[in-house]
Amino acid sequence: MRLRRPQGFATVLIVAALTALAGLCALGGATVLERTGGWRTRLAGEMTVAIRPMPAGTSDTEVTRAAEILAGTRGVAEVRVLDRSRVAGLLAPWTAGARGPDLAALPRLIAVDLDGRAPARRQALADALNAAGIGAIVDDHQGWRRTALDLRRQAAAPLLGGLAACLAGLAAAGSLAVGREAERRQQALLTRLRLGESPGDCVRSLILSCLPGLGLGTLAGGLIAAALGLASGLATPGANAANLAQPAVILAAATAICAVVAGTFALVTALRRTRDMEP
Amino acid sequence: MSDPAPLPSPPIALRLTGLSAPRRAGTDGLEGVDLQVPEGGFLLVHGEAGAGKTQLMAMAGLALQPGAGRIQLFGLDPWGASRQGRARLRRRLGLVFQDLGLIDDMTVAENAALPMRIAGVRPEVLRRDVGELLTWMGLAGKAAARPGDLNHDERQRLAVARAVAGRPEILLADEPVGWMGPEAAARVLKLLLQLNRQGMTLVMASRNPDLAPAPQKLELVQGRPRPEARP
Repeated sequence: MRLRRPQGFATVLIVAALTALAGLCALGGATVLERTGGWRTRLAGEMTVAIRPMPAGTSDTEVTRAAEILAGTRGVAEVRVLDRSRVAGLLAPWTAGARGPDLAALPRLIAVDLDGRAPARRQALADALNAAGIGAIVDDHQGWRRTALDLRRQAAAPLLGGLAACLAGLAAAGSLAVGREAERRQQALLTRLRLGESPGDCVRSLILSCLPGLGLGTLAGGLIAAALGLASGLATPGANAANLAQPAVILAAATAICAVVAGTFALVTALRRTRDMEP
Repeated sequence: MSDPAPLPSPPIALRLTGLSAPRRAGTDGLEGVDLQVPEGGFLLVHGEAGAGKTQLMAMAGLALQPGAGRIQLFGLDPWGASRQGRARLRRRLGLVFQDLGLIDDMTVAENAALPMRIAGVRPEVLRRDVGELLTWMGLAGKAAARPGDLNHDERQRLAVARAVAGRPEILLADEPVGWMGPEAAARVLKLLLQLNRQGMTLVMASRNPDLAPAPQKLELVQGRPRPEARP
């Protein structure tokens, strides 16, 4: 393969950089989608019940009774009473800097796993506890789910924008590479056309002279994105061969799309330039 | 006794009807050019610099689309044909451009072989024919050189070699020997006339009306054919 410096080398560099960025955007987008999707699914399958603390402290008996009531409610799969130290741990972010909460004054929390096929509704759990005279707040995690959704939206916009910008850049790079080559070989192409070379053959020769640079650039960009993705842990933490497969497929697809975009615009430019040149 | 039947006239290789072209820098444009050259014929177009010879040759060689009028090559309308059809027609022509149109990235041999390569001639035939042609043109020793390494005389000889390499049916040569020394010019003209005698239609443009003994001549004056000189 013969790359004419500096133009040929510059094309490879630009295409590699844009492909790497596009690959990272795609990888980042997929990771955000997967993580927020997982959080939302998990949050939707759980509720948290907080037993209101009594002035004299909440007795274990009352908590156990509440857990039994919840476990007997239709649509509940499993109930777990969180011990006081775990509750203190959960509240730590909000009590940081304080000497530490009085464990007895903390509300008692019960984690409720819902039946995936017919999950209980928040109101059903609250009604069951109220009927038994237990003062409690049932949290169906809507706030957290909304936060996860907001996070997905906030992350998706720049990632999609970045991906679109990279693809636009690759389209321009493909087009410019062929345009420059057409200018460089203008006299030769004009002579060939005047001597009866078919326009298709001229287009083919133009494209073939630029494809190695574009191909090398996209390949290098894909590899750079893979290396950066691995290094920055965009792949699932504790990655193994199984959970690396999905990011690898996403990256391969993104690299292929980059190559197709650059190649397509190179072809369109070659067709246009040849048509313009033909007497 | 009845008169003998007239001999059938040969088919027309090139026909220009009412050909016009707008003025361009340095030329007067063309207006109302009508001519026809039979297959195997020889037409010499002559006139002063800027009279429109190059424009006429460019239009006849399909390098320029006429502003008005009609061109027919071998009875076909090239500008009514598809791009592929036009490319096929161009392959039947041999062109010597005034600007020579040599490709600097190619060697002398590659330049000379280009029409044959475009026509899909087998490599061994191509090598043999180009070798013979370059020898005839006195360029055999420079086959591996680049056009940029040649002087103008040699470059012009290379342009003529390329034009005749594909054994064209019509050769359109714009000032084919303008820069050559007398010896090289005589040699090249001899080759062109010999090819014409073998059936190749020859159209030459030159400022010199006596460049070659052409049976058909057309003098252009400020882009118009001189009336008495109409072929």
